[in-house]
Amino acid sequence: MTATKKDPVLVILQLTGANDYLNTVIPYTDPHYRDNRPKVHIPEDQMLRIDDKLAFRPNMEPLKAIYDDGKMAVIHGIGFENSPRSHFRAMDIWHTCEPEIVGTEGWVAKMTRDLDPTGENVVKTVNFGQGLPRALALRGTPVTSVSNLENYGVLSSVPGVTAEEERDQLLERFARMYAPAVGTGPTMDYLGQTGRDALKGADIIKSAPEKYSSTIEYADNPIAKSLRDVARVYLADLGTQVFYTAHGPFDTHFNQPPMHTKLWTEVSGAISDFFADLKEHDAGDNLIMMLFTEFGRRVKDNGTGTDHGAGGVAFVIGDKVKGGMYGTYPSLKPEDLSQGDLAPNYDFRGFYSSVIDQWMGLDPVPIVGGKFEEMAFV
Amino acid sequence: MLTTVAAGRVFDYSYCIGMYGMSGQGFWSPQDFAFGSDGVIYVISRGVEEIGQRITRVTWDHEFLGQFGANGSGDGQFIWPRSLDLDQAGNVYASDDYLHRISVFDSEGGFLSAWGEAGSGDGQLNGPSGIAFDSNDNLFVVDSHNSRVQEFTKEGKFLGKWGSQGTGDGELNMPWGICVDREDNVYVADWKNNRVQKFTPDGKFLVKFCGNDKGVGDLHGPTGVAVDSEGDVYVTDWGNHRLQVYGPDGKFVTTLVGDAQQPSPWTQTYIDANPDIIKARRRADLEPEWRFHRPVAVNVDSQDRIVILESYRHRLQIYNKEKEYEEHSLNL
Amino acid sequence: MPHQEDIALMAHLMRRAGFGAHREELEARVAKGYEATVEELLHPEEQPAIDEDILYRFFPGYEGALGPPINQAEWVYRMINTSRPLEEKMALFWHQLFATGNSKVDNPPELTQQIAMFREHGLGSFRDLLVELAKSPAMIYWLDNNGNHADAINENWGRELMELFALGVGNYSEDDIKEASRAFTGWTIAPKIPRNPLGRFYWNFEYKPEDHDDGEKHFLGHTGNFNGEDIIDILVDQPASPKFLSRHLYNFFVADEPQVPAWDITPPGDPAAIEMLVNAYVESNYDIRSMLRVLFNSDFFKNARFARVKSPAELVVGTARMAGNYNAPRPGFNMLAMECNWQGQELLNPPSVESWHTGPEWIDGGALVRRVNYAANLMGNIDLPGIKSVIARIKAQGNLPPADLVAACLDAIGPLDVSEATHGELLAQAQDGGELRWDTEEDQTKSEQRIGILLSLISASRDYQFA
Repeated sequence: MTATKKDPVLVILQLTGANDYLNTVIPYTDPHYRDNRPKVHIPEDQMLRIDDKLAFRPNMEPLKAIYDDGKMAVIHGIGFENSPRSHFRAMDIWHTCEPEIVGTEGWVAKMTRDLDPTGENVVKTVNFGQGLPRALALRGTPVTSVSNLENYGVLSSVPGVTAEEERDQLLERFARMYAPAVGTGPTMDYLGQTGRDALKGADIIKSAPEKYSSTIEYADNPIAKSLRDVARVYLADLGTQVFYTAHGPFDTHFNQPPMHTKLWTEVSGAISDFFADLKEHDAGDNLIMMLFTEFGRRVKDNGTGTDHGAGGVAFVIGDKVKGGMYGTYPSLKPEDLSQGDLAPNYDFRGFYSSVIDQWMGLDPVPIVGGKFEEMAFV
Repeated sequence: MLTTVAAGRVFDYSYCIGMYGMSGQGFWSPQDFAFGSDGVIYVISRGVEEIGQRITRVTWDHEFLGQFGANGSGDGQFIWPRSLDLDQAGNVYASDDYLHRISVFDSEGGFLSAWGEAGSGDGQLNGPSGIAFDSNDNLFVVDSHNSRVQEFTKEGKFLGKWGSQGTGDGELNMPWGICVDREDNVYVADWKNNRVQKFTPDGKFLVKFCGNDKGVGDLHGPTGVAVDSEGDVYVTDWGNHRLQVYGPDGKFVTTLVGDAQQPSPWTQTYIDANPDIIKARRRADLEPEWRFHRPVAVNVDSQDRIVILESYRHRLQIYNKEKEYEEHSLNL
Repeated sequence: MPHQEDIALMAHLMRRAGFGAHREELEARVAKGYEATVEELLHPEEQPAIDEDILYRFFPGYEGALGPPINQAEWVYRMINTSRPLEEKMALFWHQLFATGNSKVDNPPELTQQIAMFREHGLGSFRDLLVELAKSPAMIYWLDNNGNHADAINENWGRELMELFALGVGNYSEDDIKEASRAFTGWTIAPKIPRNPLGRFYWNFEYKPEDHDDGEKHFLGHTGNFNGEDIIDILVDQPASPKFLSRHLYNFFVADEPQVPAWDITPPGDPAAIEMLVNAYVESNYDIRSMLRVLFNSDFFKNARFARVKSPAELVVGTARMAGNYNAPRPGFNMLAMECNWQGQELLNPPSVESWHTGPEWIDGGALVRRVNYAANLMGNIDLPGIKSVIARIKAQGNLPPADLVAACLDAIGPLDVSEATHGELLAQAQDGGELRWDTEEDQTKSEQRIGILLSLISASRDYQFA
């Protein structure tokens, strides 16, 4: 590790599909919990008690340990007014901070632009997954999206090309096909520049796996793989400040208990391994991770699962995080529900603002589109 | 209407089972079903690409017993599950019209074996659709893209075949469903020809049930067929979203269009949990929900209960054939 | 043997008016003639429609698709397998112009219905199409016309109708927006059964006279008790209307124009072309088919080879059609749909009502990597039927020196024009293997592999990014 003060790093983990708040941080002493969840509830003898009101679901043991260590903040009742019960719309709002119109500019991309206004470092923000979530979309702000760290870049899997030298030769041809040429017009020039940049970006990214070694053995599932990729790129010191990845589907309308168990087993294990990995490399002190989902699920179960709700829960994890409970758990009383859902009592843009302002050191107002109440969890 | 009286028969709507579910309690684009012993019904779901392929075990009184099968081409897996039937021992046979094979499971869903290879030679398959056992426990397989029916032993040994591509009597065009009656006669839903054909056990053409293709007694893309104890023939008229009933001689009797006015208990629980859905339902005309949408398979049990599976609505609708129906007094 | 230039021109027409064609199809069309082919394309109703029975038998989930990417896959299936290429291409054109997205509508089957409406009306009268659009439930929900009431107007639809769909900015006032919105009050959607847990039910357009403002309106110089259809009648007679539509057609079918928001300050690249299209519109009473007939038969179209950057849908579908293996139901269409998404064009979910930016703006680093890898992996797969037939065509020419091998490859999948730099690399690659030989079994295996790698390299080039 270098001795200089390092830039803050943020890992964003999206729990896609709407995680069930009530069965994640369980208000187990609230009689309305059992009343509303005749089929889809966590038995009391299995839950992991936090205090005399709340408990984590079983199979969150690794996260419970982090919580007990004071390094995990739980943000209650997060969401926004008039929460739409549509995944697509709600996720868009989380991504663009635009609850009124269909927005096109992602908040993470805006943050990236502020971190690197000239777009000099194409790996300032790295997404692990296919394509680009709208949170990372902004014209003119390059973001690197990696679906497979082992196999990243152009012409990476041309059929029949197996030998390394053969692929290298194709890449050289590609570079020359995309070389600057006089008089071919602005579009050809732009394509050429983009192609050459892509080669450069791939070279940078490819250096990460080569530099990495660790004793941590991550599990064999997509989120563990993604977080291991995050660790490898982060530890390679490429100047990346924002990592984005997603896991799911948390859309547990049907057959929720086994699905939800599997998802949280995977997420908890992966996060725990990830932070252990950073610790092993003495690199945990300038990185935090935030977890969010588009909304919580309906209070009453539907017989085998739960449907789309409103208020949800978010988490922040890291050495520099002031662990504990933030905000208040929305009331489960029938008269306090909004269309059968927990009424959100904390605007997600305040949550973003806290991270942008207090951790990343940027002005949150232009990024989230206004001033929102911050919490002091970092 | 809930009770249909036609040509001396009475069909009385009873209840429905099921709802949409990508996993667990529910079906997803179900394609076929079969009755097991002890009141168990096996339903095979096609799902969509890479998700939802499975066989659900459910009882007549809505108890979800479990599921088996998953996406893939390994043992016990499906890419395009299509049809199923049970042998006399209660083992479950299921066709896959992408993998060109028949997979065999025990009655609890444990994988036993799989057989079938792609091709057009004797015993080879191209898009196997409907399957049905005869009284000797041999399996008829609708070999759809080869426009023929083939007969196999339970172990997959080729026994015989009939049919060829065409529109004449005894010829077939992308046939789909199949059933065997008490005399081991075979009925084939000749899908692209908009008709059902009846054959002797060795494939001799007997009679056809048809019309063409959207008129009163007609069929458009028939998928499933079943015969009751009196020889009446039921055909899921998939393209017209209805069930056609014919007499043993092929004469058209009546049409059922679906009557699920009362949601299944699974559906009702789901609705009850969602205040916004309750609100929306109170403002909507609910009749489209009662009606068949893509009825895809039909079976008749030993008590002449007629059960229709709907691919698009993910449920089974059940009718009783009332043998001792007493007319109400007409001057009520 | 058809003339090479005729084949090249036909290939150009089919890339633009459709999603590209194999060499065999091009030769058959050249035999029929260029203008006859244009007429055939303009009359899709004379060709068989996609067999929906087959589609829903093998993909029951495509009917009333529960969610993306199933609905997107259904459209990709149609784009690849249609016998009516222009009908499908026009559906894509209208989707890009009347951009309606699942991010808000959250109802994939309704978006699919809107596309079906584009298929039905997309080559007819622009006036009728706008009326259908105004009644499209997905559009009504997307632009909030269900919230546009006699006593409280919502201007979203009224504004976009003029700004983005029919006239372009600068051709109407804020008052015109208000008055148009008043005229569309009461145009809404009827209540329907909610989707879960018994599959989808469809929305229906509903006109509510009791929620319609039937007072007098002043709109673009006209006064009257206008209803929505009257507004559309006035709009299609505005001089701005054909100019705007013609520029969109030019940008989609002929050559990349600047992005739409710049149109009120940047003149068209070819004003004479726009004028020809405008005249066709006026002379034919807003008939889209007549405009396209003029367009495809014009010199400005014929000379505009490789003047547009392919949209992701064009690249994905065109390459899949060329390589083959998607010409019947099979698993894999979801992946093709996802590929469009990953390359930056999520079908049925444009980023906003302002749609996608096109031309060079389809390309960024991530998109280019995906485009190159997708095309190179398919075109280099010598087991696919389309590639096998390309190989057979080259093999029929016997042993070939490297320069002829490159020419044969470019010809067989195009014909394609490439830059000097690209050609130089292709030639160098071909020269590394020497003469292409078919004499022994070993030669054959090696030659097939060499052709595959050359095709990969061609489809990885800058030149392949253009249609």
